[in-house]
Formats: sequence, structure tokens, C-alpha cells
Amino acid sequence: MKLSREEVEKLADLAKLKLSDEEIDLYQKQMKEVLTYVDKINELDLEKIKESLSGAEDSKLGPRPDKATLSQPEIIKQACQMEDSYMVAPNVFDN
Amino acid sequence: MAISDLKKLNIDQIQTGFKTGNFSSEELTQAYLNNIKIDKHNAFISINEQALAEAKQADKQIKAGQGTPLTGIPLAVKDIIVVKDLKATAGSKILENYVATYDATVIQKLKQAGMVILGKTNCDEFAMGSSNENSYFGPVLNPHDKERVPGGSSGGSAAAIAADLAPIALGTDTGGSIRQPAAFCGIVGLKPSYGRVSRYGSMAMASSLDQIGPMANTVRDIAHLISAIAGFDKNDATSSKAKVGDYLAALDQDAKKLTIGIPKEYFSGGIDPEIKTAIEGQIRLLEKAGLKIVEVSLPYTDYALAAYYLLMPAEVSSNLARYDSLRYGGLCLEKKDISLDEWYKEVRSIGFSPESKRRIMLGTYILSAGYYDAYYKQAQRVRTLIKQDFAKVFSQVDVLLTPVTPSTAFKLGEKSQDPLSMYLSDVFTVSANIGGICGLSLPIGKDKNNLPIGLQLLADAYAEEKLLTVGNFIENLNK
Repeated sequence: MKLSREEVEKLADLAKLKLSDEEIDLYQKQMKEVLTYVDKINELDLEKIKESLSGAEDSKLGPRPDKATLSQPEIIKQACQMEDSYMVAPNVFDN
Repeated sequence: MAISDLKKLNIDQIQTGFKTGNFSSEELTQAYLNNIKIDKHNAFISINEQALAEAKQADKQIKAGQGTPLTGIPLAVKDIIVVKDLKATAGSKILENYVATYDATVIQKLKQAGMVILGKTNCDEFAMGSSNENSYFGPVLNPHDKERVPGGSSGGSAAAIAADLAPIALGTDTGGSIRQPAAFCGIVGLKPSYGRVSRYGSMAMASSLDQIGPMANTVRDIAHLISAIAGFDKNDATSSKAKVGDYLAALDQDAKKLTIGIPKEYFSGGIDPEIKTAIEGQIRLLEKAGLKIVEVSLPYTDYALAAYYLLMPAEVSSNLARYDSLRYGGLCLEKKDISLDEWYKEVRSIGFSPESKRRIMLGTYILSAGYYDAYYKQAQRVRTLIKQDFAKVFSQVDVLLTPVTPSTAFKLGEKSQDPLSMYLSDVFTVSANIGGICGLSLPIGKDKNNLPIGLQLLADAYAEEKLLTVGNFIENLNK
């Protein structure tokens, strides 16, 4: 099982996590151990087996339609910072 | 029975107390709140300030003869399940101050039935762990030995019952998180079949595996609770329309008409000899009592844990992407001049525990291009094989009997630096989640260190009644 330090750094970036050098070293080691263990499923010949999405009969329903169940003020009142009735978030694009 | 004697109360005893006027729901609730206040196990994260008011309301209903079997019964709720106007932290710093804006479907149902919510119980962060050591609010201590873990992730709920801080609790089980702490703390816990109970209002960890379930002192109490919370819910598209069983009647069904399977794969490998001996003793008792016992095989058992530690982190990494400390309150950083990307990285690094970060990282790896086919898709195929294993075995037998855990409660800190060894402690419980079937954990005795030993019963999807029939039978045999 190969997992380079650079790969771990790249994963942290994708996962939106800022890791210290110690954390990167630790996760590199621990992830290798876990991935080596889980790789045992590749001993199986699975080519002709269909995939199951869950333990139940795969639902044909699909997701329920989204609908608002609460008012906007109720939902956003826990935001850190508000301006008028809007939540303030950091800039998405550089100025 | 005096109100000061809260030892191992069950619903029938409490109802008798209400009926005879020995105590009211308000007095009982106060007694539990007093115990919680002086609790040394760190079982609760927060208390419901309205508990006594809810109990008073329940007393009125009981007096008016309008109660259900659950009216006035105190309940502890794992802090991953939302209760309107109560904090819901999921054991995480990133939700430290989050107050839920709605009731989970199970909470709506139990409030409707008249239950009194005592408070929210401690758990591993986002239900991720087997020891309760991954909680931002500190580990829960096992009431049987405070130097040991209560199990996880529903460790607070299990410890609350074992320490007489609540008679009933709700937990969630993604890979054993109800059954394993129930075994470690010497109580009863049910993981319902996937889809049996609505997951609406349970913060998602691994959506294809998560289920809410009850924890209690007796199998009968479990039957009461599952009767109240089972059923289809339009707010959870994965909840099932399968007929809800008559769970209380199931307690009195004849267990001798059912065939018990002993899957040989659950008795080999690294199982503690004392647990093995205890389970084998139970098998002999059942045989003597007239139940038919047959050995069966689940050949893919060995691959279940590997599949679990692929499917689960993959789903975790997606589900935990929503925690950005913007939408659900959270860490309000003073930093103004950072980009959104930097903000995400900053708050998630401070807000998540090492275990959450580890699982997010693993899941991100498993779902990334190039590995998705080799890992995630393959694990979904192993899931099919495990489902086929169970389908075959449940055409031969009604209920499977196995150990819950390879060891009894281990010491705090013993496995926290070695994630793989911690993960291996879920070996007997994860298959039920992968296969979508139901499982019951019940106490059958103690080891030489006086620590509880649990026994697991597994039944096919939506066959909870069979678990209750056999579970109740075993409980009575051991009385």
C-alpha cells in the first residue's frame, strides 16, 4: 500500500482540512494501515456481482422533494454574523 | 417501591408506581435529574430545562386516563438526534452551540406518546467511535468500572441506563453503536432493520447504514419503544412501508417454534475465551429448553468489516462536508480577511476531532478518481454478497445467535492511539448494518473482572418480532 505525503496533503486540501505536519505524518501512517486492511476485499472475484446501495431493497422512490419547513429567520438566527437579513460569509472570490 | 430506589427501573414498574400513587412522573423525573446532577460518568451533555414541566403535563394526562404506556416515562436522547429548542452537538466542537430547530420524527412520536425528555447524552463525535473517547465533551466512563470505556458511539445513552440516570434511551447504530455499548454496560439495545425507523432528524453519519434504536433495562421495554417509533415516514425516503409488527405480542410468542442458527464464523479468531464460554453456555441452555439449534455459515463475514471501513468513511466524508460553521452556528472566527476556502479549512480543523478528520480523509481517498472503482464500488458489491449470505441463512433459520463483541469493556486509552485495533472491535456488529437486518444485544452475565458480557441476536430485515421473542425467552431463562 503506497500513500505518499503529497497525496495526504492533496486529500486534506480536497477535504477542506488544514493539517499540521505531525497530523500529516500520523494520518499517512494510520491511513496506510487501514487501507492495507480494507484492501482484502480485492481478493474476491466481484466482477459479476451487482452493487447494492444499502442493506434494504434499493429504493425506487428517490429523494423526497425539498421544501421549506421553517421560516428563514428561524433557520439563520444561529449564524455568526448577520447583515440586515443576510448571513455574512467570507469572500468566495478574491477582490 | 420508594422514589429513592431508582435501580434498574422498567416501564411496567414505573407504570405501577404511577397507578398506585407511589410516585408521579414529576417526582420520578426530579429523581433522575438529581442523579444526573451528581453523575460522575459524564453521560449527559445537556439537560432539558423543560423536563419537569413535561412531566407535570404527563401527570395530568395520566390522571385524566388519557395516557399511553409511555406517558410520563423519562427518556434520554443521544445528542445526534435533534429535539426542538435543545442543543444538538453530536459530541462535536463544531456544533457546540447549535440549537435544533425541529424535532426528529422519533422525538415527535415519543413526545406524542407522552415521554419526558431528560436531556441529551454524550456520544462519539458524529457517532464515530467504539469507545466514546472521540467526544469533544470528554469520554463517558463505564458505570461498571470507571477506568473502562462504556463502548460507543451511544456510550452516554448506555451509561445513563446502567448508572440509573434514565430508564430508557435512544441511540443510533451505524456499525454497532447501540449493540456494543449495550453489551459493555450490561443493558439491552436494539438496532432496527434499515428503514424500520425514520432517520429524519438524526444527523447523518453513513446514510446507507444509520438507524435509530432504543436502549433499556429489559427486552419488554425495547418492545414498548420500537412499537412507538417504527413505521414509514414521508420525510425519510429510505424508511420502509413494510408492515409494523405487534412487538408486545411478540414477547409472548413461543420461542420453541423458532430455529436458532449459530454462524461458525463468529466463534473463531480473536474472541475472548470467557465470552465464547458464556455464549456457548447460553446455547446449551436454549437447547435444553427445547429450542432447535443448528450451525450455519456466513462465508463473507470476514470481508464485512473491510467493506464497512470503505462504505462508512466514504459516506462520512460526504455527510460531514456540510459542517462549515456558517449554516449551523459554530465557531465564529474573528478573522475577517480570509477567503471562504481558508475559512472552511480553519473551522473544520479546529471543529473536528482527530477521528472525524481521519475518516473524512479516508473517505476522500476512497471516493477520489482512480480509487472509487477499486474501493467504493467493490465494497458495494461485497454488500450484495453479505445480503445474499443473510438471505440464504434466514431461509434456514429464524434467528442467529452470536457474541456482540470480541472482548468486554476495554480500558480508557487502550486503543485510542491505534485506529485499526479500535475498528476491529466492531467485527461482530457491522454485518447487520451492511445487510440491513436487525440485531438485539442483551446482557447474559459477567466476566472475571465483573464486566458485563453481551449476546447478540440477528434476524432478517423487518423480523424484529423474532428478536423480541427469543430475547425475552433468554432474559427469562437467565433471571
